[in-house]
Amino acid sequence: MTEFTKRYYPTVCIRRAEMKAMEKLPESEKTRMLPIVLLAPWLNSIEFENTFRIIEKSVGNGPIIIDLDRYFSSESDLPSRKYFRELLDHETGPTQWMNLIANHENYIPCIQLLGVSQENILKQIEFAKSLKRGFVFRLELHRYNDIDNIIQIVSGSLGQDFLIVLDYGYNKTYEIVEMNISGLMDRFLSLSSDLKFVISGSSFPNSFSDFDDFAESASIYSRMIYNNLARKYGNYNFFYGDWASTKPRTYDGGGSKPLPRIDFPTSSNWIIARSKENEWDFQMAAEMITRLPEWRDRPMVWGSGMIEKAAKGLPGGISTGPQAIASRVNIHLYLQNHFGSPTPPTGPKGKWIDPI
Amino acid sequence: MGVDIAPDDPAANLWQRVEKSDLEKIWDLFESIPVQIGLVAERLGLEVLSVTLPTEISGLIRRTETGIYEIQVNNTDVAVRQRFTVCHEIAHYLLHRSLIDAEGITDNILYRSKLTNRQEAEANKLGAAMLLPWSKVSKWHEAEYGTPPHKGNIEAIASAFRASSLAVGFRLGI
Repeated sequence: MTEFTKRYYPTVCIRRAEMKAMEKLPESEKTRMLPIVLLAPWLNSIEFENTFRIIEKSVGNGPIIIDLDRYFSSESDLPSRKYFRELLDHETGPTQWMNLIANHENYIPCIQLLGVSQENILKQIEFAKSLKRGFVFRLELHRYNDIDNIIQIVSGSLGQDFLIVLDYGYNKTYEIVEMNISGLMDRFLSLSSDLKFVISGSSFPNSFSDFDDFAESASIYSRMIYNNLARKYGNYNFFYGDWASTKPRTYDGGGSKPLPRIDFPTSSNWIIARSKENEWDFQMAAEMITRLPEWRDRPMVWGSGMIEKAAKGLPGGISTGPQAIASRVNIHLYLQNHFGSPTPPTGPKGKWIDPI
Repeated sequence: MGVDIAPDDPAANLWQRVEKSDLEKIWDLFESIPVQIGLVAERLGLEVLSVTLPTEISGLIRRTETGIYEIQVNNTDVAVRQRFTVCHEIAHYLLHRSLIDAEGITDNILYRSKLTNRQEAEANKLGAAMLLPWSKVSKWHEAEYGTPPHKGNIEAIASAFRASSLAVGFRLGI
């Protein structure tokens, strides 16, 4: 049975925030969505195996779409980094990639396309077909521009169980994104109206001074883009995805220490609480969030609990930036997983796992 | 495995009040440290759920429509606190089962509920006894410090048994 149904497709990276946020979602939530996990070495791990372990711990053993995090960059000689670079190799990478996929029964592969020969692409497709898990053409639109080639490949795969993910990356120029995606969709749909698509991207703010003292909130552009495109393509297999309120990795260097900040997602906005002028700490920022009318409709999930604890100064509440991000991602994942449904007064329940 | 309640266990009188058939299901689990609390609940047929509860609530136990006893743990609490909460609710099940209905017993962050203070104190004491089996704590403390357990080493005991300081305090009767 195909996994590619109408549901939420969050793209998550192997980073603390996403992994913690996923870990804190109950199993039922993870089963409802289909995460797209971008592989990269886990923190400073020597072995790449730790990446698979953290995925199992946080995301679980259910079906997940797997691709490589091409934003990750390292010239280190650690085995985990070397292995990652081998996977990216145009010549030998696809074979390694197929081995990796074969070793993990719940991984649904993204066919590696960038710089890969036609022969190696077709080999991957044949291999993926033999696994009977379905497969994915994930196009990072700012990297992949050989559209004629992918059209030809897709046309040769018609009738197979596959999904096309159109990922526009980090982009806030939504009108241009919509235009580009619309053009692509029309070309793909001319092959078959049965094709399945996910539209995904990221727009979480990079700088926060505009949001000081609740001056404004940040729109979730991925939702806007999807909703606008859905007017045209909503009758097709056209599914929503985003970057789970995160941004792709960047290597801009340090910069000054960010101000304490609490981000509170709603279905269509991120409300950002910070104040340079009033020198809010995490507790104050959290308290200000809990005074907002939107707080009354918060989902009862781990991230909301962490904000509430911080607001009340209770132990275990948010007191660091990474905790604040994990809480935001957790709430965002839940809300987008239930987009369009009213928020129930009680939260989802999951089997308790002894944290020893 | 036989149920041998140590006479010097400060919770001996509470262990003796528990149904023997229940103790027989779980007693061997107190042989390995840290105690696998999830397994204790499972052996007793209890369902333990991770839920985000209002911040002032640590956990609850209720009897569902199907007759199963369900424990809910606040998943925003730190790990060792969650472990104690589960033990506290199991203790209610073992000692105060007849008082658990569909509405259940909801324990706030001070482990107080609609039950009497005495009943809550019993649940604290027996809950801590599950996390910190007396013979194991005594042996460990003797080996580490050459003395019986005492309040000067609460943090060390807590760390060794993956318990909260609060739980160790309850165990030592502080």
